[in-house]
Amino acid sequence: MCLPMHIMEGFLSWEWALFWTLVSAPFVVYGFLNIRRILRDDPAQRTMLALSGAFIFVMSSFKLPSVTGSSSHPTGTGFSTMFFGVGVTSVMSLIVLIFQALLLAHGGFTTMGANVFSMGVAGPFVAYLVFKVMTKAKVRTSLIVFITVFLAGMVTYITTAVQLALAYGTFEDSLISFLAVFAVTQIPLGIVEGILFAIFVDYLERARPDLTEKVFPRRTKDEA
Amino acid sequence: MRRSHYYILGLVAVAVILASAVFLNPNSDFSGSDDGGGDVINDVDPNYEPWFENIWEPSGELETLFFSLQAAIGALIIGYFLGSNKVRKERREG
Repeated sequence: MCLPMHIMEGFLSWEWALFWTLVSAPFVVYGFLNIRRILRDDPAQRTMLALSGAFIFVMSSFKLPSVTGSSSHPTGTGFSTMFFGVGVTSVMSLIVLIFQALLLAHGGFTTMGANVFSMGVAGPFVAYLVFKVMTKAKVRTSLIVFITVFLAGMVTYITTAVQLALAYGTFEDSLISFLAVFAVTQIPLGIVEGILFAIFVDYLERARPDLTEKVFPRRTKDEA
Repeated sequence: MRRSHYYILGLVAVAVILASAVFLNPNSDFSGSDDGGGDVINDVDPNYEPWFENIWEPSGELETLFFSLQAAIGALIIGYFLGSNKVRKERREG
């Protein structure tokens, strides 16, 4: 038994489908305007925008095996969250979710709003808040990346569990059964994703500091 | 330790975590989390009937094709970036 990252087509009543669509919509609109502004005025950021989308595509196409004996997808949204925030990440997630709903029958159009909310809004939102606190506190970069990426994925799955629990049965009982399996499934995959992005951002900081310094300001040598 | 050693250590950790999942569950088919969601819902609320079906569902082979297409699109962009970095660095060093 395992838990979906995307809620399947037709598995939310239309009231809930509408509700999650309305909650997600402002983030997507804001993100869309943001992306348009970046493409128009800030060519230097285009590379990072392309990378953000590319990582979400690659990571969410992986089905990784986990200790529970089922497999699950990483979300890949942490990178975009750190460099562009929640709005842009929600647009990127929408694109991937349309790809998967249309071509793979993963997720669906009636549940699109709910899936955009978990993957593109809730996960990135929580991760972004923690990310901001950690940057203020001058935590070392690789740790910031690891924790942000881990949270973006974990909170996505927790949100999916909450969404399903709200829609089915009594809330507490459902939430426990939805969370029980998936938490254990997702934790090792979150660690894997966190390590991969920590390595990539470390490489990026060295190879292309011009791309990262806006988010991770260059520091004087403080580590060997 | 040199920086590349940390990278290798990280990648080894990734490999160990993923491999241990397979070793700990020798008989599992690692069915995808997207497919299993319906089972959970059936446990919680056996009477629920989905009110909308996917407009189109790929067969197993096609599903693999589209998943690898998705990965390929992303990997292409990342690979292009890494390659252009290398050229940029070589140019700078003359």
